[in-house]
Amino acid sequence: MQQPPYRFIDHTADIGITVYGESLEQLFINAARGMVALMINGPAPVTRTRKHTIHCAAVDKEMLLTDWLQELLYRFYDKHLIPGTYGTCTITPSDNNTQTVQLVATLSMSSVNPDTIKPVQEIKAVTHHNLSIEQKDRYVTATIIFDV
Amino acid sequence: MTGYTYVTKIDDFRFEIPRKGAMNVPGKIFASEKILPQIVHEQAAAQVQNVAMLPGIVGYSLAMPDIHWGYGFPIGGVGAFREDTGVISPGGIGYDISCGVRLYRTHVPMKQYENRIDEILQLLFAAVPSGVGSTGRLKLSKKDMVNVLTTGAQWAVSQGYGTAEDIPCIEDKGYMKEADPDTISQRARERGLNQLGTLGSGNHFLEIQEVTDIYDERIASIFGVFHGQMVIMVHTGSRGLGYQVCDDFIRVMVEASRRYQIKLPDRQLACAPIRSPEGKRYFGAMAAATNFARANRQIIGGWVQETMIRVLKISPKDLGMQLVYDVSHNIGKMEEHVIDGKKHTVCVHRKGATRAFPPGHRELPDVYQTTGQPVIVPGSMGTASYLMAGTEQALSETFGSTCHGAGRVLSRSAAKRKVRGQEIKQQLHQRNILVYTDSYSGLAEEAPMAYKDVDDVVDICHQAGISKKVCRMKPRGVIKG
Repeated sequence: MQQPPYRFIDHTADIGITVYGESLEQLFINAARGMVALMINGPAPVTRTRKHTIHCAAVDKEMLLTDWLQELLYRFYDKHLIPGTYGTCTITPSDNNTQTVQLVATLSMSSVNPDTIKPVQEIKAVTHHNLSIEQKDRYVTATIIFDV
Repeated sequence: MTGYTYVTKIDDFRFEIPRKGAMNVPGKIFASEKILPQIVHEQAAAQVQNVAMLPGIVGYSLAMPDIHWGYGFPIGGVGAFREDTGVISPGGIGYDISCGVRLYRTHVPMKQYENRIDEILQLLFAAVPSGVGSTGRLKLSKKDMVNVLTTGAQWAVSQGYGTAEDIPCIEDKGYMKEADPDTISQRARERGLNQLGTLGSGNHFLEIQEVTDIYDERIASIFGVFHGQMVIMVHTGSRGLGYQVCDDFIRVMVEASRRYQIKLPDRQLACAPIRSPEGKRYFGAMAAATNFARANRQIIGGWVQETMIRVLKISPKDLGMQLVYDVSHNIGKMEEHVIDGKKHTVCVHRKGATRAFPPGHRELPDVYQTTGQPVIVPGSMGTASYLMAGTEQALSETFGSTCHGAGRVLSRSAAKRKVRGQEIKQQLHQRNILVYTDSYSGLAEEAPMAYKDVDDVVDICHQAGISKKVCRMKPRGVIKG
């Protein structure tokens, strides 16, 4: 069965998405798209657009997913940057003793004016609640709850 | 019996989840037959069981009647862990560290200015930054930030926000001494730098309220409240700084849980022994974030007072705006409690629960020694709020804890499907409640129907004896974050 990249789900106090990807990397990109869709309604007026590279490393792929999304949240709220086009995304084992998996992603990010862009929702954090990345049929899937 | 296989009735307001399987202690939910089905249906009761599985927990894994599904701990959850054998968990305190509430009394009867609420709200809306991503009016230096993290509300007073008279009426006299600014990451400091003095969004608010019912005249008199009085309530927390601290330390704790071989029923319950380096670092960071939140509320209170004086053209003495109390409802505290007849130091995690110490407790200021600690319980937007007092029953049964609010029953998206923000604003206006907000979508999410009836929640706590009703307040003007 064809799955969309993400679905919004109900949670009593907060909000969440169930994400699907044909690969782990695709899951990560779709999770980012879903999170941004929760925050911003429709196209945002942007100024300068540049290519960015994001590196993350974590003890497992679930932590890596939250780190990746948290990095995008930080760039949005504190640097006023929103993701545009996603380029490459590679997830590989890490050389580090304590971090077992790493991500390198390239994407375009655009500057937004915080006075003119009004996010629909303030996402405070990406929670780890029941977070588990699983293979279901031909999709990799995860459900992510965001604290709002 | 309750009709649920794993929840048994103790009495009309107490329900037990018997200890079984990996649970170290039983669970206890303060509720009624009316609200119990919701609690069980949305799996909040299952989260009470999960907390009971953590090492070193003592007594019961507790849930207040405003309990609802959270992540890790339920919202409305309380768990106490022995200092020597127990764990500390950022998930048991929450992302919005020291989210809390403060209540100010005034000398002014509401009816004296009720035709000027719109005017007051307009100016308050301009004076206090609110809404998604709100940034503050303050310019903090790095040295200022260290002082904020170390001395919290006391720093704010030293900068002219409020007065020294406020300090005894703030939990911990305005700051936690255990704060360690060195544990706060650079990113957390960056996030907090331009958010000090902001309300934020979600369920944060600033309300002008009217006291409509007095239940205990003696305590009300000592708290300084009277029937028909204008009071002001502020609800906010540690903003982006606190969220980042929690996130930073969940990462640490996930690794620590593996190292200390702690089995987690939910990753959000990641933890470390209280006495471990990780546990101590988190406690120091949490305390620093708490101080930030207390400074935040103190600053907002200062701006509210300035604005009220300016718009009403009234002297500070005639306004008489004084702090009743400031208390956190997402926090971890090292406290001494009697367990099985012996005193133990425990780390009490309150996640969506309020401390409620009884009369005579040494942590309370002199003025409240005969009343017990003021407990401020905000209702959902547009419904009542309550001022309560702490009790001996709370100290002996819930580690001195009680509810913190109404508790959600509907998800945000479900609320938005049922009602539009403009409709809510009109409905409230018809009930003489004015609302200012940046976000109609956010208003819909906070619709009263999305929450339990706060009267029910407060009644359960009162009837169970874990806090005592003092007075009820009705909102007249709301600034919703």
